[in-house]
Amino acid sequence: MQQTPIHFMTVREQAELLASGEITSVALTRHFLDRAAELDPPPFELPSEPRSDHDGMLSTMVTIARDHALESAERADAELRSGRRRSILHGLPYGVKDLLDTDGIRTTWGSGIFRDRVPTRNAAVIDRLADAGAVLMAKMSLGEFAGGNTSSALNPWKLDRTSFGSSSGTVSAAVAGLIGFGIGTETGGSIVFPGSAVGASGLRPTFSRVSRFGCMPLSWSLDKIGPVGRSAEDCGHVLEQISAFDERDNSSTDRPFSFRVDPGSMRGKRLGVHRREFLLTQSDHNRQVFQEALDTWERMGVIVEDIELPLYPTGALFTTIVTVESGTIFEPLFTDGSAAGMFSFNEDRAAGWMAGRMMSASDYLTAQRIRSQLTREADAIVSRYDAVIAPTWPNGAGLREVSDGWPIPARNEWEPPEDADANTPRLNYIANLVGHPGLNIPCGFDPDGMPLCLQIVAGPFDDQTVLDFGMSFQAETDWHLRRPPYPWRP
Amino acid sequence: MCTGGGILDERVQTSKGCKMTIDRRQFTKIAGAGAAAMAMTWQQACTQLSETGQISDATVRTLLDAQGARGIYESPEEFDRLRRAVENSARISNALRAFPLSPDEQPLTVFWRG
Repeated sequence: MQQTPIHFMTVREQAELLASGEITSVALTRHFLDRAAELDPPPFELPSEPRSDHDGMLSTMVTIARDHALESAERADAELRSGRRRSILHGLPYGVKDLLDTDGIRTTWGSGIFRDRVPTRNAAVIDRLADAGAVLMAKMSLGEFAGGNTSSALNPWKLDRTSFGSSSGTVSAAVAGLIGFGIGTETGGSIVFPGSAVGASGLRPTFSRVSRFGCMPLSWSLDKIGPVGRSAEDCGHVLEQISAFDERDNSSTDRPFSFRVDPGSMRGKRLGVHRREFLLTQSDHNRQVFQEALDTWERMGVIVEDIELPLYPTGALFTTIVTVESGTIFEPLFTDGSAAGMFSFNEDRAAGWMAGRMMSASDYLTAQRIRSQLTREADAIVSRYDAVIAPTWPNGAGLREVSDGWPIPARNEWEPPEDADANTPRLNYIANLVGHPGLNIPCGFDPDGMPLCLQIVAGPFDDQTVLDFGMSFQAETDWHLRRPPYPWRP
Repeated sequence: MCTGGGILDERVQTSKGCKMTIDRRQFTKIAGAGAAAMAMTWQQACTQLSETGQISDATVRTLLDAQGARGIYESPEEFDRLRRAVENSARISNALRAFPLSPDEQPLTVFWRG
């Protein structure tokens, strides 16, 4: 039987090699660093305007912290030699979206304005991972200020396809075997959508479960930080380490997450299927792929039932809440004039923030009242099932469509594509607005060989259940083990 | 030369560079009027959009000036970009206002006391 290359191993597989002494953290870290240097050397200086000329590179990493990583790995090895193993992540190299502050390592927020910004503190998640013994090796590329659909990192399955935004560097690197695991962020879909484009397993935890302290805010009331990996189980291991109460984050909740690796029997569990989203794909092939995934759970004894979701103006809610909050957050950019330095690709977004500042308080509160009503309705629907499910995106990743060097359209992740039925409620947008956890997992490929994925959603703080559904599916299938061939397809 | 009288609570720099001296009550009135004017201008923008399908440059400029320096929006190209963004926001505001809500519905805001 052919052994999985170490860079494609899951968190547990890598951890077992480290714990048994078959490999050291320094060797593992050096392997990932060398692999990144060989396969993904930055073709141009990052952060950058989205560009077409990647020279066949993915551009997943803004900054590779080689010295820091090797020093951390040496410490991890020394502790292992002395019998101290902090967690399952002990000695594992990881990459973090370049929105999270890292002490002494530049944190650019994906923007040229902050190209030389070097924080003197760590984000809460970085400290948690250091306490767990994990090894920070790289800051991952993203759309400027977490902009959606910028494809700052390319899609390893096919370079001409979108990787959406804004956690694209993290998800592409995880799938391409360039990091041990990753950390992404999501406001309206920025973990699950890029994860869907590249076939990564990625978890948006329940809102408030992971402290955002030290992470660039885009929307205080919507931002989440979550794990990205090569399996649902990876996500569970990482979430266990990064979730904790933090008084520095006003939304933080004291609900510790203790990960249970064994999903147990799925027999009798109820899965609500939002069938209308399964019908959004134009492809019979894709429909068949999604149906076969549902059949997999049915064979386990899961009770699969169709559900309806309420139709709310989710795009309007996101735009109002995010632009008003972002407009407030980024006000200094306009006050000191540095907004002029935003990438030209992002000018519409800057104008949106300024427009958000002009909206009335009454309109913002109206949006939050509608969101409150939606939360009650969504909680009630989800509470009737163990989990609900829909395709994360109806089709495989489309063309990146480069025009004048930019991928188009410059769409925010909460704006549905033009071909999507505007009258179809979307599970992702509802779950993001109400703070439900969501797990993206691959379930097959479209006719062009691009991954197709499902999003599993459960009630608040039921992150374990979405992981159970993901792990049980991945125990029966091997979609999450498929790897993009190298050299990446043009 | 500008002169002020009354209680010297607040000194406000006027657009002509002179100092205007007002008391707290006057200051509160001015600030309140400013906020109200801003809300009224936003309402005016939403109404303009509903009635004419667009928002006038003058209205956008009033909203912009209330934010402080015009900055990058001095440029006609950027100003036009901003006008489109304001129209989009006003369109969204009108849509949200039309959404049926119970008067009992409270906004979802977070205020934790630990």
